[in-house]
Amino acid sequence: MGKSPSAWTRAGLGASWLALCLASGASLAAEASLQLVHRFSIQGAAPVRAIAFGPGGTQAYVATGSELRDYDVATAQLADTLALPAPVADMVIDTPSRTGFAALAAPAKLVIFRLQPLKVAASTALTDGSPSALLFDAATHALLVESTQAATVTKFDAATGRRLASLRMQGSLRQMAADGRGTLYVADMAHDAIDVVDEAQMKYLGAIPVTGCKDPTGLAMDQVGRRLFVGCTDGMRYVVDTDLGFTFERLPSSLRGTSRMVFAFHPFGSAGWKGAAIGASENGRLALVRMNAFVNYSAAGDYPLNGSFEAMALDQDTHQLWLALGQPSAAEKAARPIELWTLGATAEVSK
Amino acid sequence: MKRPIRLSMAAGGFLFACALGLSTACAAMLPPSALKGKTVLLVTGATPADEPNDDALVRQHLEALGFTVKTVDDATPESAAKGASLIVISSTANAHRLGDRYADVAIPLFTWNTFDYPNLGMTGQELHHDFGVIDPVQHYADSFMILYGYGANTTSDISKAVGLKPQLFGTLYLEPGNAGWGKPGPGGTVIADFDGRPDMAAVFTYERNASMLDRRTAPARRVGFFLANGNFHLLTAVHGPAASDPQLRSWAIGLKLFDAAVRWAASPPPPVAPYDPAALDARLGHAAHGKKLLFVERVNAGEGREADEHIVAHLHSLGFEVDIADQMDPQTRADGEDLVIISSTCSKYKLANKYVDVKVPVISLEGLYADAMHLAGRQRYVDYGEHGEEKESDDPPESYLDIVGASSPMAAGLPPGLVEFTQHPGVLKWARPTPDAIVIATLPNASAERAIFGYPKGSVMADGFVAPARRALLPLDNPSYDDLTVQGKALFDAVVLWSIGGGA
Repeated sequence: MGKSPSAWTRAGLGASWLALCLASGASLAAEASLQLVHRFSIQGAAPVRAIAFGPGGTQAYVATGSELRDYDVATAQLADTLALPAPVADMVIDTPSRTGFAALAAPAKLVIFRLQPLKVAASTALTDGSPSALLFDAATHALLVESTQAATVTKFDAATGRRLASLRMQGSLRQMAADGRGTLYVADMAHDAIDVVDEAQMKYLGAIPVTGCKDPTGLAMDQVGRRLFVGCTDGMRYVVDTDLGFTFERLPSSLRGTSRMVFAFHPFGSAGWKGAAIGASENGRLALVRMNAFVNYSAAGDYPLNGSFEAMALDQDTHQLWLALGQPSAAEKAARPIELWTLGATAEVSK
Repeated sequence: MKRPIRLSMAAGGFLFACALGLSTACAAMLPPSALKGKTVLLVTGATPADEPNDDALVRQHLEALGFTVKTVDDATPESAAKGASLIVISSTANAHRLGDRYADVAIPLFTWNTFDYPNLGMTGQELHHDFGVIDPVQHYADSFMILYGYGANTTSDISKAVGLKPQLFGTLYLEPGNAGWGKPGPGGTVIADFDGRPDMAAVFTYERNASMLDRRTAPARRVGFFLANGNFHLLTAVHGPAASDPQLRSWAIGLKLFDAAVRWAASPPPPVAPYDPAALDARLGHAAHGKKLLFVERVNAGEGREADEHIVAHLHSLGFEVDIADQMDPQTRADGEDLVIISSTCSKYKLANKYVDVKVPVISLEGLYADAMHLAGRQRYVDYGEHGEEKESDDPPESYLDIVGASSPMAAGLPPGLVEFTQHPGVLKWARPTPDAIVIATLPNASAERAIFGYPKGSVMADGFVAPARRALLPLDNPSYDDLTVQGKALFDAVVLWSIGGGA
């Protein structure tokens, strides 16, 4: 477990507020030990584009508008802010090096920043289209910048920020995932396929069709089982054996529209599930795929969120899932709710 | 028995055109594009809501192949099949409710309803012996076995379409599951099997007029496939970069096998020339003209010498340029020849494996050469044997054969069933070829004892030997040629014609 709920309560998150939140639809099934324990708001009308955790899961970094904000996870207090010259499109953190990367939209820039205190270390212009997503591949120490607008994926040296190679593709690119062995996968909405890229050569290797998966957007990778989890805009989740490019599981959900996915082994601790792919979508739903075995998966948890989905981060060490949600009305848009879900406590608590 | 539903006029016209040689597509499977607009009757049943059921996926897939699919339940009368090009029966249909409803329908049928195999005459009646379904609850260990199929036949249209090899392949994606198997009748062709056992066929076919079980013949093409209710979506396939690996491409062929089998079933069978010995003789004469034939015999043999002379005279009269070799002559005598026929007057011992690997077709008139020629396995009286030989056979002399592969040109247009082969009961040899053989005739009441069969070039014979050219067995004991009936002589001519490339 991560931080005690009492710390958040001290931070002003009253018990009545939590009760309201759960009563509004976040009742949970016992099948997934997943529960909403806290919710807090951050100021600003700009959508949250990314959330990431620092080393040890003690700090959470939130990219919203042209700012990076550092929150203390224990108290939900804002610890630091970094102003950037343009709105952030995406942000990732390499925790071992305590380095973050932010892709800025206009002017398009890649910013390398240090944590604690937040500080820009370097920046470089992005010349391959307006960025839409970032992926840090810890295995290859490559930083991959995707531009949906230009249909490009560009590789940077994460240490220096030097642009290494760029690949122009044909599809409508969405979430990326890497297998840790030099292969990059990119959800391609235009072709209902997952594009496959050789990271070292930045060479397009082909596409894995996900026939019947309407407009794939979400993508997560189990690097051990070599499974891809694909989120389709109609709510289907496909499980793909990347060795064969073969979809062997199709699981429905209430997710709709653009989604993002993350995968984790033992998301609820060593005694819980073997693994899970967690998806959240713009229609304000959270849904899980449970890994029963490397060849067996099931749909096991489908929850409403208190707003449309904007960003998600999972800290596997502390079993914390953070979700940033958008609000429908203009009045509410002045503050963005962040929901903290913990993974691993007994589900009975929130029933 | 139900009244057969006749093939459509369009299909009949196609066959007529084939028979006249007006179409080039007759002997081959239809191209995938030709499936467009053909109607499939998909027969399904209900399954509990919490049990897997891939019928909807199958329907989508058939539609993607170009078919127009009409789904009916297992209580629908067979008249619903009228106008359909193909009947597809899912395992979700209740086999007991279906009964023999589609057994006599002269429309091609593709089924993975294993329990309906016996109703359709595609297998015998005995569960676990003639057919079976493996499932992870009852047979957990075996349910892993069904993930692996063996290519049993490499030369059928389906096998060639898939590139099936005599090796393992992945049937279904990794999860242990349900699969059905069947032990087809004498006219069946085992395309793929489980455990390397042709009597546990995963995919098997019957050509139209092929003999099934209980003297039933297939009224149209029939295919049995190993699927179960909810695993169509697990049929193996490879996509993306992995598809560039030829080994993976030849491994993950479950879906390709399904597609090829469906396409084969929906394709018209090759035309069969009607039984007409004179016309057959004329075709053979045309084909034989200018061809060189080596007839290998025991020169100056005792018994059989006269029959050998008559065989040679007949072959010569057909237009063959016949050379005669003694059994002790070297194999180089076959150089430059177009066909080798080995007489049963030869001594197996003295023949000493000659002509096994010659690159021209070989017909063996002696069944006891079956092991040497790789026509069958090695165990005498198990893999090959004889009827009617004093002190060598428990079986009495025989004069009849049972035609089980009537659709092959080697059957001379004779109908399925018993045919009087010789005028008097005598010695008849048999062997048990591999699933790559085209089987024409068996001994009566001994469906595993195959008397006439041929291996296409490239087929995998016994011992894994790959046929360098066509190989055939036609059982003619020493003096038997002179005792052949008119039908027997027609079979002789038909086998010779097939061996030199005439017919399909």
